[in-house]
Amino acid sequence: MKEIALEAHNLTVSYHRKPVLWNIDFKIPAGEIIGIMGPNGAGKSTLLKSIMGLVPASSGYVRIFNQNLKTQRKKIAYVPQRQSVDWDFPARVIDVVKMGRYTHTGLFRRFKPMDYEKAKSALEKVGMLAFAERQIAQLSGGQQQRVFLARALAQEAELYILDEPFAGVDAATEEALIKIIRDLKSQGKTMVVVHHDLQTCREYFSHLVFINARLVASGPTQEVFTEKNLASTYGGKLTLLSKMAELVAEKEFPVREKGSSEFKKSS
Amino acid sequence: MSFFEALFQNPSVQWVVLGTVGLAVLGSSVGTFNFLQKRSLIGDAVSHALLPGICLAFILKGNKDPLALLVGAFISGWIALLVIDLIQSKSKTKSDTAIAIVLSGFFGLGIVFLTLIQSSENANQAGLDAFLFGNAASIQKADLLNIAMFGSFILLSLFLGFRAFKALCFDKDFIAAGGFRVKLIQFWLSSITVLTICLGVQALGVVLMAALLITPAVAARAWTNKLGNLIFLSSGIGIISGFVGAWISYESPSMPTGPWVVLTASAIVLVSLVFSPKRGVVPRYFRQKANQKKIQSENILKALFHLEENSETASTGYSLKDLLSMRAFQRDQLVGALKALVRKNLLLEEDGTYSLSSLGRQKAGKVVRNHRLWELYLTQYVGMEADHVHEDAEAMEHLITPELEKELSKVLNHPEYDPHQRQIPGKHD
Repeated sequence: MKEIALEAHNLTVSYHRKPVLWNIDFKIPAGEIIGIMGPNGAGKSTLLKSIMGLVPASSGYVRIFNQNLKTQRKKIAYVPQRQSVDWDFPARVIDVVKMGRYTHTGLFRRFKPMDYEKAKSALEKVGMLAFAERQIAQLSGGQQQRVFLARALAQEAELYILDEPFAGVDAATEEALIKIIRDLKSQGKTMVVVHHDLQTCREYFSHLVFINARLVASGPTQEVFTEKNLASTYGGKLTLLSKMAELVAEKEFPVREKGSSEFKKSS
Repeated sequence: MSFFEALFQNPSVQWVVLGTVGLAVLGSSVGTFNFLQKRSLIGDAVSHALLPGICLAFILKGNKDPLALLVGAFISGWIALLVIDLIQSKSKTKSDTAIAIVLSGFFGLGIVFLTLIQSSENANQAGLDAFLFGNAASIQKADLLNIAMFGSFILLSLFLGFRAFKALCFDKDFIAAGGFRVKLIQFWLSSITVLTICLGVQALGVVLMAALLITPAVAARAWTNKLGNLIFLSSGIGIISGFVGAWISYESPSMPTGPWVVLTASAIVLVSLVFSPKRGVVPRYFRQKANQKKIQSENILKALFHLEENSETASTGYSLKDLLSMRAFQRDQLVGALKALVRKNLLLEEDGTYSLSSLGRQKAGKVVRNHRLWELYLTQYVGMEADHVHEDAEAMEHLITPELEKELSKVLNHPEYDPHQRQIPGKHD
């Protein structure tokens, strides 16, 4: 078996007290392009945030290259949804991309010429070098997405986690983005992409993870892209599961009891 | 003695001016980050919430030792911030409500303490109510020292933490994902915000100190898109406001400093929002006016182009009546616009009739070309019916840039005829 880039073990995550992911359990092989698929509200973004340590897990854990997340920060680059920031912020394109170097330079050390070069070459890869000095407020949606990807590229990670990079971008941008993603794969990087278009998912991804509040299936695309899996992912929510989630939030019960976890914290 | 003479000779005037200007710089530079974080009201809440801390410090200490009051104010301000966060995270109360509750609650408590102190006949209590409205004239050497000492710490913090604060304001999740301690950065920024307010509250008062945190940043944002410039410009606006405030209250001693500082800053905001080139209301009005003018003159050129196109024989010129038959121009506007076009050598006038100059024909041809290309694009690519595309093309023809025109022409495979089988004029470069 190939090296495991990302493992979610028995992950349960709540958002505003309400459990949105139950016992998610999957392994992602290194060097592949993996799609995370599921309907709106399935918890895809929450899963990514939990992987990045932005939302605490109620139970379970995430391992990156078989290590604790804390030791692997430099190796994992996150591309949030582009709507998650205010693009009217006073910054130039290059300023945003330079943030990708922070995991290497820290927040206080001066940038070396090499860091500038890497930021610029990241911009070049996404075809935005000519826009380096442009204000981010002047960018179109597709350009914003390219800048976000460039910021992750500047980090020179091994594992890239992209939240809906194709949402609301034009066809040309989607094509350019998938080309970059494939290039990275051919360099041995692991690309995890949240996606919701079933039309293109077989073409884009060699592995799929289907989730809808719980894990439906995960594995190589040919094996898991089945009618049965699609039906249970997209065939509406599990009513009882979502009823229980609402009850947990309403009654303010914990979603996991203390000391019940079989997993011992060690890494 | 005039203000400027006093500025060089009278140390107490120097203290007031230096103090006010220093506070203005601190408030406006720290405030810029709060403004960018969309936490503008936090400053307001914190400055109101300092009052109980100040009063308690006074009660415990028995006099108005500036350092003791500063410590009291700082603790009180921090507790207020924590309470706001607690209310938001532990109950379903929204942020604006939490801020409003804490602001009024703490301020009420402060007023109660203040009243208690005032009725206790403590000889030292005189002037404690300066915290409500501020009293810049009371800035002493000891206050100035505090401002200088803590102020340098605040500015140094901003300088060192610039990258961290910028990233925090723009994309908190991204730096958290990078493993940086976002809570610590936020704590640091909040702390220097509270400290700034504490330093300024005695000289400028609670309401005005809060305003100084936000107003210069808003004004500066109208003029610049660069974060570095924003902070410098915002500080500059702060300095001007501080200086003007000190000046006015020197010239007429009945006038308070703080309110004049803020009024000056507010006036600058107003001017900025009205006149700044990109975001101002007035420049936008002129831009729209210029657009209207461009549309009208292009429509006239186009009308003449159509008249030429439709007529069998070469005509020497067309009258106002001919033009009015082509389009519902307003007669008096049309006359003025025609004259302007003649002046620009786009039209030729002869005995009250008008014809296109070769330059004018070129320009009109471009507009007609844009119109017909767009119509073709709409029918072929957007799938609209040929009888529905005219109105849209009427508006777009004035907007299509030469680059877009090239692209359109390429996409449509350099067409010769539009959907109505009229010839598309060639590119006249």
